Amino acid sequence: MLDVKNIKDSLNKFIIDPLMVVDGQKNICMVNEALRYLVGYKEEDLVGKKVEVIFADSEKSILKRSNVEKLIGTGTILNIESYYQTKDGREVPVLFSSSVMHGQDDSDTWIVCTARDISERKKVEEELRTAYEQIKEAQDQLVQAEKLNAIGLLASGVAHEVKNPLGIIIQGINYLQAKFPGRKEDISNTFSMMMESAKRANSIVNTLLDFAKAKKLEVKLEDINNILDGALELVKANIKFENINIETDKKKNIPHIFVDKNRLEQVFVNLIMNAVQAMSEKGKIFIRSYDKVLSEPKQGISGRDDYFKSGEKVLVVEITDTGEGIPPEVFKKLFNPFFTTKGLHGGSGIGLYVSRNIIDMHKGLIEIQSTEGKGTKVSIFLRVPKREEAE
Amino acid sequence: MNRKKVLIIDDEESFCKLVKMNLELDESFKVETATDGKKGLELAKRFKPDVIILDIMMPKMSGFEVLEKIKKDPQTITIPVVMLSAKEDMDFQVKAAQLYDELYLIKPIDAPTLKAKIEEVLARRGIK
Ligand SMILES: Nc1ncnc2c1ncn2[C@@H]1O[C@H](COP(=O)(O)OP(=O)(O)OP(=O)(O)O)[C@@H](O)[C@H]1O
Ligand SMILES: [Mg+2]
Repeated sequence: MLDVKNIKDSLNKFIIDPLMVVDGQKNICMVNEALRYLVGYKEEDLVGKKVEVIFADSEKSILKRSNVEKLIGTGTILNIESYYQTKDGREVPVLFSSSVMHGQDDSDTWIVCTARDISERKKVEEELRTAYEQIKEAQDQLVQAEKLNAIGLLASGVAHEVKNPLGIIIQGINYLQAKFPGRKEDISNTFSMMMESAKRANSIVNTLLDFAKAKKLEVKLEDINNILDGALELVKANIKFENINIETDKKKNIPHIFVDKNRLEQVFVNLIMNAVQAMSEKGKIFIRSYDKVLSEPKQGISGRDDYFKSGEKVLVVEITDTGEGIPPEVFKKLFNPFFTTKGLHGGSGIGLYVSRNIIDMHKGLIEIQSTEGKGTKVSIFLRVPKREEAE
Repeated sequence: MNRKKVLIIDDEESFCKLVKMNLELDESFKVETATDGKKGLELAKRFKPDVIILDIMMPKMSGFEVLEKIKKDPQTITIPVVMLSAKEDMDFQVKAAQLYDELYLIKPIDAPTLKAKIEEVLARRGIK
């Protein structure tokens, strides 16, 4: 026979890990202080109860409430991750071990169970994992941004090197054309062919710059509301709105800003088209423009260092739809080139990519908020230059 | 008729030469050229052009710096400047438009267009 009193004393004093002794019928017959502390039960709550009371029925572990009775009598269990359940229902991750001891006869069986509380370790692991995932994601974005940056740098470098000689060639042809005015057809034809080729080379460089977002903007002081109107007309000309309601709230006398009208119109068309396409049958699109002074700084997209400072005056255009919204797994990829959920015959997935590039070139910002099933709001922020502010 | 005086500052010598040849084709322009900013500034004071065509991407002194110097010197401050660049820079474009109200043109540019733009600037300043 075990000297229960003595063992209990030393278990309480010397064993700092939660420990219990279970009999052959899987009833708890002894618990130490560390265990009581961990699970929040009193000694009398536990002694005499089935061992399973202490286990959580957790899917995360092989050893759980539903099978612990069967498993722990069968042999030694060493460092199995399991979950204890506290009196108030919390699950505590533990490293569980048990070993079976036999007395004189077979009915005289004792199982000693220890468990080490590993919640701290788990927490740290979890934190590490999220930190790792964040770093990974930030790094992916950086790599992508770097790649595009590199293409942009290369493209604008090449552009300079190619456009200068092209300029000389074109001026040269102009001079020869003036010196040999269309007397002989073969000569004038030769000049036109040369001129055409030089201009073609230039347009190829422009396409490259365009894709690498390094292409020129043709900026003028513009009224953003006019550009919005133009975009709306274009969209309306291209699709039928049977049950889609478009409402606008454009601020009157909005400051004029330096923008590339055509390109900004392209952005608005892309965004309005997306809104229309997000609404299968019916819905509402709400377009709003206004200016405001930022009360807090705004960070540029994907870690770019240009951002809006607090106190800076901006012009905001919002396009809100009551469409299907954007699920989180799609949200991350919205701006990736060629990412689309519209299938083969739907979109090519460059609408947002190009739009962001254009807004980027204007040193602006594009923000998207979306609730699945409810709708999406896309906001565009553009700087109001200092001179306009004074007006 | 007075010939309109044009100063071209561009580090590409062939470009300078050809633009000069093209503009002088019909006797209405008198063109001087400089292949760097320093020479350009000297010429601006001596030659007193009606308009300056200024390249932005130049070694040593950039067109940007040259423009600042032109606009700080009382002898040259009133001369309109047409910026010419193969590199498009939104910031600069906006700045040029805001500060100096001059043209910003993108290379390559053909002779008739350049001539038309120069005449436009001159007309705006009342130079016929
Ligand atoms: N307003 C919106 N509501 C819901 N989802 C949207 C909205 N705007 C964009 N999306 C999602 O983002 C994806 C990418 O949009 P993007 O405009 O870049 O490409 P696209 O519309 O699929 O094709 P494209 O614009 O080239 O015709 C869309 O396929 C869609 O899943
Ligand atoms: Mg789209």
